[in-house]
Parts: sequence; structure tokens; C-alpha cells
Amino acid sequence: MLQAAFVLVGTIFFAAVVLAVFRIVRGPSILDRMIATDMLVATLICALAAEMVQHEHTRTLPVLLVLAMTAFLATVGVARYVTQQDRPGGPQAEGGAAEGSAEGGAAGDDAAAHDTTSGRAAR
Amino acid sequence: MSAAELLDAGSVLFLFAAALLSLAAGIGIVRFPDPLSRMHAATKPQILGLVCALVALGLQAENGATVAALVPILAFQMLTAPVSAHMVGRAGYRTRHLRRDLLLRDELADAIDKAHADAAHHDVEPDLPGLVTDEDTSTPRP
Repeated sequence: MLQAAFVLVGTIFFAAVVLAVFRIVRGPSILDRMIATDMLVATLICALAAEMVQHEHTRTLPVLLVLAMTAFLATVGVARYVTQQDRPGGPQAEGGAAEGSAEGGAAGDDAAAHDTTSGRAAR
Repeated sequence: MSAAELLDAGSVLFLFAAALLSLAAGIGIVRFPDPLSRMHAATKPQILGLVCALVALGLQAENGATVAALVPILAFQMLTAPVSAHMVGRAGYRTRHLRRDLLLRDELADAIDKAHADAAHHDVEPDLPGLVTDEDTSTPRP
């Protein structure tokens, strides 16, 4: 009974990790990837704790501590150097931007939303 | 039902909560439309999910030393999660990685307008490093 519950918990954690990896692969911007990476590490910490409860040991406690201490470093480092280039529909997504301009030019605030949708459509 | 079995059941319940929070974050991170709303989803397992998992671990602890080891884990996560969220949010706002049409209210824009007005009053450039303004994006991209 208890073992079945642990298997179910593990399956739910696995589903969450798969969804996070999907967002890391899919993007569309580097910020989305870093947010998903942060969430992946948080899920990993929870899953390691669940594994410790299941197998009744405390050997991975230092791993939890180190992950909790260092998980934010990569995110901070990447966020420091995010530029306009990383925008969905920016220079990297050339096809999406071209399609967007064919539908009619939008300026200012509309352009941001416009680029997001057209970039997604191009993909 | 013995005390140990009760503790086991409690641990499993808390682990379920942590797992469901992680799953909610996963679903949110896939379905939400822009980085700011994805950030909102991603914070679920970072604090509350971790608290649930650590409580589950603490219920199984045989001595106080194990429980004491759980405290710094939560403390460090609580210290560092806002730092990374702040950096990501700031970078996202400055480089316009957000859907303006989804915002109800943009209070930071008021502060930026005020900074521009103050700078104009003193006849200097506003000190807003890294901010991408509307003028930059209305120019045609290469």
C-alpha cells in the first residue's frame, strides 16, 4: 500500500520533470529556459527528499543543501546577460519576424505581443 | 494503527502535496503564455513544495540532528529563490520579454516615467541601464 503510494508520488514528480524539460527544449527565449531550469532543480530537490523518505536514509541531505544553495547562481548569471537578441521574434527568429510584418506593421506595445504570436506560428 | 504507521502515512501525504505542487508548476510552465506568468507557476515547488517535502522528511527523522539539517536547506532556498526570481523578472521587463496585453497594471512604468521626468527637470540623461524603451523597438529590426 505504502509502496504503491511512493510509486505514484515518483510518477507525478517524473511528469513534472518531463514538462519542465519540454519548456527548456521549446524555449522560446533564454528566460523561459532559465525559469524552467529553476523549477527543474526545485522539483529535483523534492524528489530527492521523497526518495530519502521511501528508502529511510539521510545520505542525500548534503546534496539537498548544496542544490538549495547554488541553484540560483546559473539563473542570476544568465539573467545578467539577457539582451534584445533573445526575444521571441527578435533577430534570431527571422522567419517569424518576416511573417509578422507581412500581416501588417504594429508598433510600440503591440509589437511585443505581435512578435510572440507570430514567432509561435512560424514554429 | 501504531505511531510509526501514522508518521509514515503523514509523510506520504506531505510528499503527495509536494508532488502535486511540482506537477502544477510543470503544467503552468508549459501552458502559460509569457515568462512573467511562467515565473509565477515555477515558484510553487520552490518554497511550498520544498516545505512539504522537508516536513515529510522530518516526520521520519530518528533524531534532532536530522531535523536540524533540514532547517538550513529551507533557509538557503528561501534566501536564494527571490534573488533569481528578481533577476529574471528584471531582465524580462527590461528586454520586454512580456505580453503587455496580459498586464492589468504596470506600476514599474510609472516609476520609469517619473525617472524620465526628474531627469528632464535636471536636464540630464535618466539613469536606467539596460532598459529597452518603446523608441528602440519601434525602429525596424535588421
